[in-house]
Order: sequence, then structure tokens, then C-alpha cells
Amino acid sequence: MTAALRFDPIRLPPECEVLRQEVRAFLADEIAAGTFDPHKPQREDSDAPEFSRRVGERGWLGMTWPKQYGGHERSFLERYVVTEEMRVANAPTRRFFVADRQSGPVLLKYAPEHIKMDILPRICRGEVCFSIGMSEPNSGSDLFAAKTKATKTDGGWLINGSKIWTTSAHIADYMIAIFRTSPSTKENRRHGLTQFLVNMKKPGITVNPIAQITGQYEFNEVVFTDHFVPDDHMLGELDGAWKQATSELAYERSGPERFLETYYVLTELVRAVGPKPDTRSAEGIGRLVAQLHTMRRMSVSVAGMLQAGREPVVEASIVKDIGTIWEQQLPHRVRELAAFVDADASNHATLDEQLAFAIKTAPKLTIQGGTTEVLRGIIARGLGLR
Amino acid sequence: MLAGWLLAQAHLASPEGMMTVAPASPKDRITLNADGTLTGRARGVPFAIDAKHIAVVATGIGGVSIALVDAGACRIEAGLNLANDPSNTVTFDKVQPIAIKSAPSGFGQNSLMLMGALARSLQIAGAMETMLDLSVRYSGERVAFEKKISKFQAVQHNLAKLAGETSAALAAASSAADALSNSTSFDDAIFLEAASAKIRCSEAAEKGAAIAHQVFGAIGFTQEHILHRYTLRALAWRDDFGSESYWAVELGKLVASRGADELWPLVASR
Repeated sequence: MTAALRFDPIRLPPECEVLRQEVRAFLADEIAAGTFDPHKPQREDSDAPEFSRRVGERGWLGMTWPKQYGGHERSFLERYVVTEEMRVANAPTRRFFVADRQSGPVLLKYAPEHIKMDILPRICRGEVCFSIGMSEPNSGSDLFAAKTKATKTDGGWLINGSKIWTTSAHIADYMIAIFRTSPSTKENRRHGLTQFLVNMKKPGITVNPIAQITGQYEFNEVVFTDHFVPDDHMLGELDGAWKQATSELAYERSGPERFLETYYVLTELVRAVGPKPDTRSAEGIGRLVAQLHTMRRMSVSVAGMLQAGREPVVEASIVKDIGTIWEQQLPHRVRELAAFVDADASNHATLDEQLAFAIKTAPKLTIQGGTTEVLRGIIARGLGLR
Repeated sequence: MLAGWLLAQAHLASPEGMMTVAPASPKDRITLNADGTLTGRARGVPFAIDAKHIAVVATGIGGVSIALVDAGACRIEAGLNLANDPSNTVTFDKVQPIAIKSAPSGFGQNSLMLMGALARSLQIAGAMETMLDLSVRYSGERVAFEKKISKFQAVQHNLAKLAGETSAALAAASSAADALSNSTSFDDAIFLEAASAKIRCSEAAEKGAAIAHQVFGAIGFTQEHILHRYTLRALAWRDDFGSESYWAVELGKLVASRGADELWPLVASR
């Protein structure tokens, strides 16, 4: 075989089921207390600092990290369960999600000890929000065209330039960003970028809001003017960020958040259709459920392989490729089926509202965190075509 | 294999020689008459014309039975599926079975359909692995416009999509196989696994076969080329033991009857 794709039929262990019930009970309490409304994914209260702290108190942040940094040394599969239950409930996870999924693991790997001891326990307590500084006004998918410069100065680096489409920059305490520390070389155009930890509360940073077509406000332009980053905030190898970026991708690309972002419209459709669907509705729902189930089995499989210490980069890219396309199409398929819903269905208005929001959300799903085109390039490389 | 499994459900021994199973379509019924004979018609029975025996699920007044029948006692019409493999209509006209026993409780014709659907899903997934392998290899050999076609981004992206569909088929089929081999009953969770596998693998077969043929161009459309042995079989297997649209309706009905708030617990049950 030229391409050995692997999707082991992994089952979640029994401790996951116990945890799942705990998360569901916690979320039910939060819903009852009015923290969020699971039927309103378009809510404006998605920055919920108190909710974030309560999730931390339950031990559901930094779940897989070492205890010395405030972590809980649990498995990726347990973290998986927490993530999927939060996503399905439309819980307000924005404040902690990036730090827990991505920034914390980067710090664990590359930050000096005193920074790990300072920041990681605070992530685990749900106290800090992270953003990721990758895209720039003229470099999005082409990450290695980044121009924002870090210039060596006494005791650190001066940052000048700007990042864009930076989710949560307006509420973030920190950013993990890549900046240009040297020009790229002829042999390696990916050379010359370095990863840094940026304290967003220090001077020299302006955050400009950018409104989105959904009516939400999530992303920003971040302008750096002689912003100072101390030497010990450099993460990993000087000029070598490109080596660091790729190995993290499997964690970022295969999680349940990569196919559940518009899931709520499917639940709402099933509610609207009622217990005795017509044939067309039944077929439509059946296909969507089969596709959802398959996506989830693929995603759990990758989580299990990560837990076993493998790096299924191609499989993870495949999960994000077909998962995001699925969640992008989902509201459109549900919209087609919604035409057959009885006029007196009690949740008609909720379904319509959710569909309008999901259809407007859909275009971004195949762009954020690696576009479809970039992912297919990675898959093609994995197949030996590049 | 499926026939042997079916007979074993009722502790019937498998005879020597080739066997097949009936019915092979969820809409067909074989009735157990009061006099112990079988009546009914089963369409699309794989390799019935070559089989010595047929393992049958029959329904009578007393419930569901599993029977072993001499193929020679049935009327078997010639017929071929998309891939030119025998796929026959078998008519049971008061056929006396060689052996017959009651099915275990909870076992129905649907159980055979789910197991057959799973078997076909696994076969589709296997065929797709080969389609992907053949297509990737050929794209590295074939030169057009002075380049290997594997170097064209459009071809790369098509092959990445084929890899995605192959992955979906593999994941769905192996998950369902694992679920069934660790379960003693055909409950809702097993239904979700097996029906989803057949739906998703059939969808993958359609998309995947189209891409594989596109990569090969005209040569893959010839009788002498190996490609159609995989593409046409994968497409043909979609129809056996319930097509994807049949199972989608059944799965949709199940989901609707359980209610909206029970959908996620069902999907996340394992």
C-alpha cells in the first residue's frame, strides 16, 4: 500500500462515561442558573469569565498536563468528552478554549520553567485567555510570508507590525505569536520566524475590532508599535518556528470542535419534525446522523491514537477536512428539510433563527485553523504526491 | 461466511460447499407455512446460482426461524449485478427445508440485514483502500503536459478527497464491526453503527469511484483494466442488504422516535 490510513475502532473507556455524566450535570446546572442558553448559539455573552473559573474548579482545564503545573494528568480521551459535551451544549468556552487546547501545550513544551509555573496553573484555574497571532494582513494561509518583525534590543525584542483575524485578542491576557527574526533563506523559505509569548496587557499594542458577517465580534486587528518582549518569552528555537508549528497540528485539527460547530440545527430539526417524520425528512435526518456518527468515530479514533503516543498528522487533517465541510453543509441540508416541517411546530422560530445564524457562520468553518486547500495539500503530501 | 453465521445463530451446522443467504433485501419476505415449507421470493441474492445451499430467515405464525435449504429445490433466475457477479432472484415455492430451527429471541430479518449491511460495508471499505492505492500509484506514473499528473494541484486535491472518503468508509465499517463483535443484542446503538456504516460507505463508494475513474481517464474505463473490479463492486454492494437510502429512512425514523434530546446521547454512547 502506498497510503496506509489508519482509523482504529477506539472506544472511550468507562471512566469517560462517568465524566460525561458529571459534565452534563454541571452544564444542566449552569443552564438552569441562566449562565447560557443552549438554544442560542448566537448569544453575545460568550465571554463568560465566571463560567470559565467554575470549569477550572471542576478540574476540566489542563486535564492532560502534569500536576506540578496545575494539571490533572488525565487522558486525551477524557479531555475529548469534556470538549464534545461543552460544544454540543453551546457552552461559552471562548475564554479558555484556546489556552486549554493549544497555548498551554506550546508553553509546556517550549517555555522556561518560571513562566510555566506562573501561567499554566492560571490557565488550569480558568483565569487567563489566550489568542494566537498567526495571520497578517498579507499572509494568511501562507504563514511563512509573515513580516511582523522582532528586532533584538537590550534584554529582549521590539515588535513592530500587525496581526489580523486574531480571535479574542480584545479579551486576551496573552498571545502566542510568530514574528520575523531573520529573512527567509533561499534554501528554506520557512526559515526566520520565531515563536514568542506576548503579554497583551503591556504597552505598545492596539487592538482594533473587526465586525463579522454573523453580527458577532470575535476577531481583531492587533497592531504592535515598539512593543517589548523580554528574552525569556521567546519560545523554542530562534528562527525555527516552522519546525514547532507542524507537530502540534494533530491536536488542533481533529477534535470534536471540528464537526460540531453547527450541530444544534440538527437537534432542532429533529425536534421540529417530531416522532413520526415523513419519508423525505426521515431519510435526510438518517443520512446526516450517519455522517455525524462516522465523523465522530474518526475523530475519537485520532484522539485514541494521540493518547497512544502516535502522531496521526494525515488522519487528523482528513478529519478536519471532511469534518469542517460537513458542518459547513449541515445548515444547508437542514434548511432543505425544514421546508417540510409543520407550520405549527412549537420550535419553528428557534429553528429559523438558528438556521440563519448557522448559514452565516458556515463560510468560516473551512477557513479557520487551516483552510481546506492547505489541508488537502498536507493530505497529498502524506499520500506521497508532493 | 454470512450464511455460516446465520445458521450458527440457531445452532444449525453448516454443510460442505458454497452457501448464500436469503433474503438479501429488507423488502423481501420468506414465509414459513403451517406445513413446514417455505414460500416467497428473494431478489438480489449473491451467487445463488453457484450455491449448493441457502441459509434463510423465514417468518411464520410462530415467529422467526432460520432454515437451511437445498438450492436445487428453489427456482433461481440468472442475473448479474453491476460488476457482473451473479445476483439472482430466488423463488421458494413450498420448499421443504433440510433443517429448520427457531431464531433466538430478539433475532429478526432485520438482524440479518444489519449483519449483511456491515459485511458489505467492510468490503466497500476494502475496495476503496485499493482504489486509493491504485490511483495514487498511477498518478505518479502517468505523465501529461510534461509533468506527472500527481504534481497537478487539482489532481492532488481529488486524491486527498478520495483519501477522505476512504477514511470515512474504513472508520465507519471498522467501528461497526467492532461494535457488533462486542455485543450480544441488536440494540439501538448497534443499529446506529451498522446502518451508519452502510449509509456512509455507500456514499463514499459513489464519490470515491468517481474520483478513481477521473484520475485514470479512459484506460480505467476499459474492460481489461483492473480498476473496475473495485469500483463496480463497491457500487454494486451498495444495493445488497438495504441501500443507503433505505437505511437512512430507518435510521431517521429511529432518531425521530427517540426524540431530539436523545440524539446526542445515542451518538455519544460509546
